[in-house]
Amino acid sequence: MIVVSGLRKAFNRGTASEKVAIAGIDLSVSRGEFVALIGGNGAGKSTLLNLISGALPCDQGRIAVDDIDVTRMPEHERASLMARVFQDPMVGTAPSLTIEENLILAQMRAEGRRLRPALTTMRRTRFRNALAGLGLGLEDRLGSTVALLSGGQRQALALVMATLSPPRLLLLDEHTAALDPRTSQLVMEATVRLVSQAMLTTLMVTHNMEHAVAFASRIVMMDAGRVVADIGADEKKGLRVADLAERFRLSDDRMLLKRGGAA
Amino acid sequence: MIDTFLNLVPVTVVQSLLYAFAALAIMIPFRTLALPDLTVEGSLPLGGCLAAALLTAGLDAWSSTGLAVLAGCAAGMTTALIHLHLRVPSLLAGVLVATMVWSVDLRTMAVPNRAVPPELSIFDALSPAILLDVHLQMLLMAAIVGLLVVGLLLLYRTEIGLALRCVGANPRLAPALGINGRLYVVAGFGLANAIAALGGALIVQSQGYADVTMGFGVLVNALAALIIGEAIVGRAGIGRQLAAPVLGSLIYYQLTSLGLATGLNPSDLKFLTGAFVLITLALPLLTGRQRTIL
Repeated sequence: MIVVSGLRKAFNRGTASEKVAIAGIDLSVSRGEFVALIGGNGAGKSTLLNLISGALPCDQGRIAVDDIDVTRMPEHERASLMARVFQDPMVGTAPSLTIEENLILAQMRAEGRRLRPALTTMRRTRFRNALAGLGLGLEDRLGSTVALLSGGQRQALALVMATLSPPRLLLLDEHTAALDPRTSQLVMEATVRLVSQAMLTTLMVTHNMEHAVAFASRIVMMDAGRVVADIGADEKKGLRVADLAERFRLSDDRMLLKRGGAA
Repeated sequence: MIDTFLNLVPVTVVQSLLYAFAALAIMIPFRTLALPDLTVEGSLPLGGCLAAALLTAGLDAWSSTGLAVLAGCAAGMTTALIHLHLRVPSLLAGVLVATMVWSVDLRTMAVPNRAVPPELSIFDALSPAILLDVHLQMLLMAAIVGLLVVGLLLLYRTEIGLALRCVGANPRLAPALGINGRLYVVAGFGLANAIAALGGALIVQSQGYADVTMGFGVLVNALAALIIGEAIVGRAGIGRQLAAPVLGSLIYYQLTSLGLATGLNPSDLKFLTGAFVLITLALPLLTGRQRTIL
């Protein structure tokens, strides 16, 4: 259970160019819920994710994961509770390390690291199995450097890294946005499979309304740093992308474009 | 001329192995952490001067060398902390620490240079035969450098070593994977400068004296060695990354020895080494390829 209460964040505070990014958000996500976070550019979706992950400190409010108050915890400590897949495939993996080395680091996210050999046969087998599920053939390339992989392969790897030791909260920050439609679909399918397998509590920022409607169990819409709509599972049944767009009189070009696009 | 050079080959091998520590110390921040550090210019003489002061004050060779290594480690950590907490660029932080360490060196030695009698040295503590036989010195130094490289290789393959490499490979990803990047930068700088200080302490005990100016130019020499080594073995994989500074050092010092034997003025060496480093830095710009040196 993730509870965010009274969360506020402003950039350039106390200057003329002060910009309120999060203007008071209360949100609670139950265990196993798959929440799609939608909204126009500048609505504060990514900032919210950055506040929850600890990449940015919040000005006010409280964030708790399963009753653990993480509000003042630095990002690297919160990582034992949550995992994140970034929008940019270059950010989510360490390019000069091999696939298996990236996976080891991901596995250590929750356990911590010790002064002992990192690579073991047991781990290799586990990684091979985890990668085989993607169907990209990465399981036969454990020793290759990640720099050699395509953006889509990297993003798929980042996804496996995030779910390897199941986090209490999975944060997906437009993780398919930088990919071509076919790869985007593939990564999204892998996401749904991994999330449902481990019944992960997930918060996914997306501009892709199709993905939000098709895969999420709940849709939260943000605007100007606030939650403006919260559509639960019951209400979501039978909801179509067109309904969403009409209901909230969306003026966001990116969303409207996506309606015609990745169907 | 060539005879002079050939006669000097064993001595130069010993010298290059002694300075391989500095090249390894450069490689760790520059390559593993992708955060350049110039503290070596201060931590190497710090190791040397402190070892000389302690040895001549009557402390045994092992403890003196050990304390010198710890001092180097502290110098490196100081640079990292200045960079991380006072937000001073890492290069400037290193120059600041190296400059300040110069005064510390003078204070600890009380005089600008101090002779270290061979019988006080760690080499003599191992066996009195070593300082009399250049071949034994070669073997011993090769063994020490070899052990250090293997040790680093093993370290880089541990979970902690992997996290250290991740901090350099992708600093934004590291915290998301639960890695405290700052801690690893401090530890990495400490490790690198501990190695440099070990080099300094061994140099002093091998040449028989310490001088406060012994660090001058060490960084550029080490950089030149690293560049040569990487040109030969490449940088792909940690094995090559660790072999490059040692191999580069072996070649670099033979080249300078050859230059000197063929009539090069020793005082021109720094200019030539600097020019060499500069040309390697500029080359990718001229040929339109991406710069990979720094």
